[in-house]
Amino acid sequence: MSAREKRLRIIRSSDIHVVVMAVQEMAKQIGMNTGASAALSTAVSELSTNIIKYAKSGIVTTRAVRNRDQPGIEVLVQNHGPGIEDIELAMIDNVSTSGTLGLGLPGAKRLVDEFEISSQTGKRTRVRVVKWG
Amino acid sequence: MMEAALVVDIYSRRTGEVIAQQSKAMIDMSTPIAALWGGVLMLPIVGLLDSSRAEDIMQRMLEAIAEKQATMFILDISGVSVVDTAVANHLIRMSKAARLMGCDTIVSGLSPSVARTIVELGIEVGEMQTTGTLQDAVQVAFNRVGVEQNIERT
Amino acid sequence: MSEPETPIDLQQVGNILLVPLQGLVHDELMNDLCNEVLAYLQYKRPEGVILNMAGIEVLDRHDLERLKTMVESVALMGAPVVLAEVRPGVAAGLTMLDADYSWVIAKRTVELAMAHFQ
Repeated sequence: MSAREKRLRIIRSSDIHVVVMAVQEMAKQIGMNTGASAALSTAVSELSTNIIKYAKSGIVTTRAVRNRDQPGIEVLVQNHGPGIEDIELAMIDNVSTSGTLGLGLPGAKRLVDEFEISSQTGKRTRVRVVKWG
Repeated sequence: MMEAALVVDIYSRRTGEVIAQQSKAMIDMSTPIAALWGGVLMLPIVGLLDSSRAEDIMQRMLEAIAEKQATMFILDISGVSVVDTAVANHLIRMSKAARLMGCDTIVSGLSPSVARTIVELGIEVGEMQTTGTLQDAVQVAFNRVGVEQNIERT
Repeated sequence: MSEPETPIDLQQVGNILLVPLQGLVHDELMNDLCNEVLAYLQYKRPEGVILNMAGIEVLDRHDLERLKTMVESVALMGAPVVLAEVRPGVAAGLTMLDADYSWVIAKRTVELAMAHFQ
């Protein structure tokens, strides 16, 4: 695993701290602006916390990426858990299937530049986000 | 065994190339935030206020509030071409975020038709203050910070 | 049972308790801090509490819920709570997440938060 990629397992809430710090560290390394870094960190924090709430454990992978002009960070957040039955429903603001906060997916999407979610019921859910800057 | 992953939502708002071009356009178009007296900041918004622009403006606004430790921010929208529900929601979001930083927002430059549109569309502006003219907004802001400064002195 | 230790120094200025939050607001730390502040209130009875948010860079909705729990518990003990120095990234992040922070009383600076209690 190169310095441009980092893989972390999340099981308990104190692991979120480590994940967010890893994202911020990578953001600093690639020279990402503070606004973009804060937005990405917030999205990753929200998504990772959801994993801990709704599934036993998960894996977060951060990777430095680049397009023609800008550095960026890609973050994969995946869990082995019940999966999301109706992604379209989960993506609508203010709808939650359990608990008051729901999955926070629409909000996290607003904070990033690219957002991709795939879920297989009963198996795993994977969210991929990219933030440029 | 092959996993049949069901990809149902792929969203890519901007490609890198478009971002670079937009960034240049933003820099050309972006008006500086004016620092008035007493910790009052002011920014006129001109043209179309879409979600991408709103996000950039909010970012600049909040950073300026932190940098200047501002307690009042005036957003003048007399130059905004279209004010519909989406635009109103952007403005409401900006004022909520500023409030969380301890800064109150006044949206100035509401034309009579914009005021009517907001009411007719049933938009809840909540705690966001609005005025018709920039002048009124500045007056309100100065009165408010004047009062705050008096409280600090006593 | 030993008392919980948090790396946060509670500071009393006049009759106001100043709590400088640092780092990330995750579960265990917030629980300990909440207990510590509530215990302090029993002993010292300040008239208000200021949470200095200058050291918080990232806050998601779950963190906000924990913060709300602390603020509401403290208020029940008779001391209103004011947030100060919230950072742009935090305000923007919570706003984009559509978090409900309507319950928050926030001032730009610690000085203004102090003035609020007069």
